Amino acid sequence: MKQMGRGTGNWKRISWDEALTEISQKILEIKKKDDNLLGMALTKYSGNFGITHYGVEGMMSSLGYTTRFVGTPCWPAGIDAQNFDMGNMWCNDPEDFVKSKYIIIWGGNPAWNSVHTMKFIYEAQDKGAKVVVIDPILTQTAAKADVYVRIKTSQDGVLALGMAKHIVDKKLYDKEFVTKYAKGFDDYLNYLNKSVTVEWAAKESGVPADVIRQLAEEFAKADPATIWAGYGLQRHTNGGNNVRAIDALVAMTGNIGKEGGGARYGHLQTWGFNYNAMVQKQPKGSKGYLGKDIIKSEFANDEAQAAAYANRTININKLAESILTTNEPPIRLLWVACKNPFAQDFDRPKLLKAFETLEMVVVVDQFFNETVQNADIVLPSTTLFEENTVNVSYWHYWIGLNEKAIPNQYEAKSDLQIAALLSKKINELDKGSCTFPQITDTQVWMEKEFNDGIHKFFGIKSWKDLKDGPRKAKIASSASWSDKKFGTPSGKYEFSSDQAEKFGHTKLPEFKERRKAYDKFRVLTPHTQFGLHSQFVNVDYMEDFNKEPYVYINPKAAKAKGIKEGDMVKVENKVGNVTVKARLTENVAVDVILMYEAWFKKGDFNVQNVVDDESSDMGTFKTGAPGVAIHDQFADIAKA
Amino acid sequence: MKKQMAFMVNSKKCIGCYSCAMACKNQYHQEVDVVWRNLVPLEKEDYPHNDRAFYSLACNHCATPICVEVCPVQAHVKREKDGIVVHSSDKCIYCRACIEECSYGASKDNKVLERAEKCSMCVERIDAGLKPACVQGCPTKALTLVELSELNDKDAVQYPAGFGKHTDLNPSTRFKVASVPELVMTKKDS
Amino acid sequence: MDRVKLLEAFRDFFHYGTLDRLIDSYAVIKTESNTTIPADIDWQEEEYTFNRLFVGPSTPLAPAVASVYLDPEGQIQGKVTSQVRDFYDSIGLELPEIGSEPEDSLAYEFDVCRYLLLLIKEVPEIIEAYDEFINEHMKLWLPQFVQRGLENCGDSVAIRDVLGLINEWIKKESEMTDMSKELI
Repeated sequence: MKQMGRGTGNWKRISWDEALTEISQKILEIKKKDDNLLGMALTKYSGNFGITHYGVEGMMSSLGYTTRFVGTPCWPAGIDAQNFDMGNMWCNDPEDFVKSKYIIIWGGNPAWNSVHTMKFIYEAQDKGAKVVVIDPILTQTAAKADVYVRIKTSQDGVLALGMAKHIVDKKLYDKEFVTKYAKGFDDYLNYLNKSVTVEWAAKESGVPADVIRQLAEEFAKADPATIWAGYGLQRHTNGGNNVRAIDALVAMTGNIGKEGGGARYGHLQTWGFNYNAMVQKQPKGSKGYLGKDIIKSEFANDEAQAAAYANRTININKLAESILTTNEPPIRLLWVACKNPFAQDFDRPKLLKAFETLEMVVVVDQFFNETVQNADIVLPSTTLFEENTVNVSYWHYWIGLNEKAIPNQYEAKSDLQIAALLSKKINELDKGSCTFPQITDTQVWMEKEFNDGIHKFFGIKSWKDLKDGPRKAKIASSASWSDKKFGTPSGKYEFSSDQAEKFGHTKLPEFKERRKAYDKFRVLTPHTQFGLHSQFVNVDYMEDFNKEPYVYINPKAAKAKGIKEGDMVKVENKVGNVTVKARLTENVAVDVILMYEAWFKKGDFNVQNVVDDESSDMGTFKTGAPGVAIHDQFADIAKA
Repeated sequence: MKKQMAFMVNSKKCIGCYSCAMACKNQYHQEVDVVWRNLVPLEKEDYPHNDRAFYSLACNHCATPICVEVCPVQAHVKREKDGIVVHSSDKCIYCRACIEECSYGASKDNKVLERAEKCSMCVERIDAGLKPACVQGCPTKALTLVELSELNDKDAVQYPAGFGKHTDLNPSTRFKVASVPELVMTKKDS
Repeated sequence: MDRVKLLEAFRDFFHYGTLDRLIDSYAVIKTESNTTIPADIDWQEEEYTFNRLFVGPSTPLAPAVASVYLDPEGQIQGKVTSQVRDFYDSIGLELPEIGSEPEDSLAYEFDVCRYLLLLIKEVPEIIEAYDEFINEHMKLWLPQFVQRGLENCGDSVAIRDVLGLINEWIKKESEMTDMSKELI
């Protein structure tokens, strides 16, 4: 449908043919005006990670060289950190938690956000493992732990350094690992001896020195011991550094490469697909960016780039800022797929302004969310029930088919069907404008993603074997790096990384000051229990148990502000404001307020009104752009 | 001892995900606001941390069920073979006696269809050799089904803090209480 | 008044949802119901209102699908849709794709009525099927649908008018079929 004026709510019903004609004409107009298609931009992320959905990127390539918002708002700083340290992000099989004797869950809340892992944690606990949760929030996971440590937000690296120092003092590190399989441990040891004391770490992290010593000793003595580094602790201006310090702790105690051990963050071992839908050739004669931008994505392989021209890449986390400042040519046409930028992208007030400058906004979505409200043309996309695709995980080691269960509802089409139709239309208007193939059966696309490597890895003969149910990869060991051959330039675990230095960081995982507070309370906006980012909170049966959003405030802070349970509260900072109902809880510290990020179909609650787009320290190395310091936000509160 | 099927609510393992309550809704599609099984967060005096420990509660399939006693049309029947208190809403005449009398509030008021309703432990599933929907839906095995005459678990309690002690009813539900982590807390974040 | 033409126009009014079709079918509806077209219709606004009520992309305020009113949970493609599908099947009709659009969408139901009326001329017994569909199905939901539409249609002139005419139509048809039943 087409909106007559963004945000007016005045919609006209147009046919697919009319919609694609209008979009095609715009594309051709941009090419004519700019002599290239860089004015057409794509922003897309995790709305559907079915492998065939990379066909959206394919559609863009098949039209020419375009502008791509790259990187990830999710986990890039940690990905870089693990790549500097080990040469890849590669975690143990989560099912092998049951082999652990000591588990630290650090900056993650699996009881809400990785429910399927909890049974393995419980099994370990039942077998006698100690579970420690380190988090600024007393989460549901913390309530299930043996010990909960409330740390000052973003001081995770400091705590890890303090623990490392104590392990060094007590000579509890694994001498064989640090000499045989690691590079730069002596430098790290010197750094710890010179610059770190347990007392200093205690003061900075808020964790008492005796607790740091106890945790360090228990962790070093347990065999195997593991740390699960959650994505929360790297959404900071020093987030990559936090992960590196934690990695170092696991490495120096010889727990890397061990079943039941490991510095667990994520993995991409199971993603070896063809990316057939993604890899499309630009039409002959396409012109693009003269720079040497290479599109990086944590999941898919780097897209092959023709020598002369390239796509223009922009940090996905700076959508608003980039739309406002990008020139020669400016961004004229924005295509949004698998993403709800108004719920998920940072600095929403700025995004509203940015959208005003766009000539055309096309949104492919299933629901009427705020991004659709700000679109010119909305194309109804199918749900996962209406298409075939294949899914793998960046945590567990299974593969599963997503089979089409119902026909496309009404006029909805999948991303791939839309790409094929657009290709057909634009070629009708101007022959040779698009190379996207005319395949509209999502099963055909899905089949094309499989290869011998995938077959072998999962022990299947063809994708058809997966019709009987998901399969787990045939892995030699439940531990990553079990042969201790690392993917770093030295082939060893790198306490000291030249690559890190090349990307502007310290070689060692040294202390890095956290972001300075810019307002009275720290604002945390982590994941909700009832959805995945902006998805699923609007589902009826979820709404039954999660009717409205809240801001969680410590009772002491609330009292000082004259706020009572259930009062409406205005949360305000330099970015904007949110008005939401208060719940009082000691689960947060006195100077922290908490709101779960979510898109409710009723009301205008949106945490991105108080989150700016400050970058995290790392992410450029492996994902093409730094992440966002989502949890380095601050605001004041007042009774509304 | 007679056979008595019962819910075992392991609050120590419960992560408050509401899957049990949603599974019940998914099984029976009750009217909006009619909830047979719900997740009840424990009050501060019963667990020190807000919204961090829960009891998943539905009908307790009591040894001496008041609903059976007060129902004038035998819409509530306690099964001889396994002690499940089965409610047949088609027999219900909406006299509301069970709704008013049940100390645990297990009988629910369906104002739309004008009848009482409650959890019957998914008898039709149990008779088909399946688990109740809520039990099957629990991702951490915090909610399970036990047979009381065979239960030999020293941690199982009948009346944990925060759960009404109505000995006259003798509820069959058993609980394991939530544990509290050892706390190390920074006072301030800044 | 031509009953078949009126039904065709009702059908088209709801089926296409484009401005030109709305204007054209409204004109036919008015002619066939012997009323005159009001002068002050802002058709652009009518189209926006039409989409807000019946199409989207936001949740339609008064969906033109029987299930929304007859299914206990307002679920489409459930029992109600399947009953209507079975009815179509019994008179030899089906949609090209099962499961994509619900058979109990208003435009299809109007079209089925139209088809049955045409058929009655050839096969008089078909009146019973028509009677069944009107009295045991359409009459059960159209008044609710009309009411919800009227409550949400704001300043609309044409849509308000059409909803009123649908209400009249269903009343009349149900009375007429009752009469014809007595005759049989």
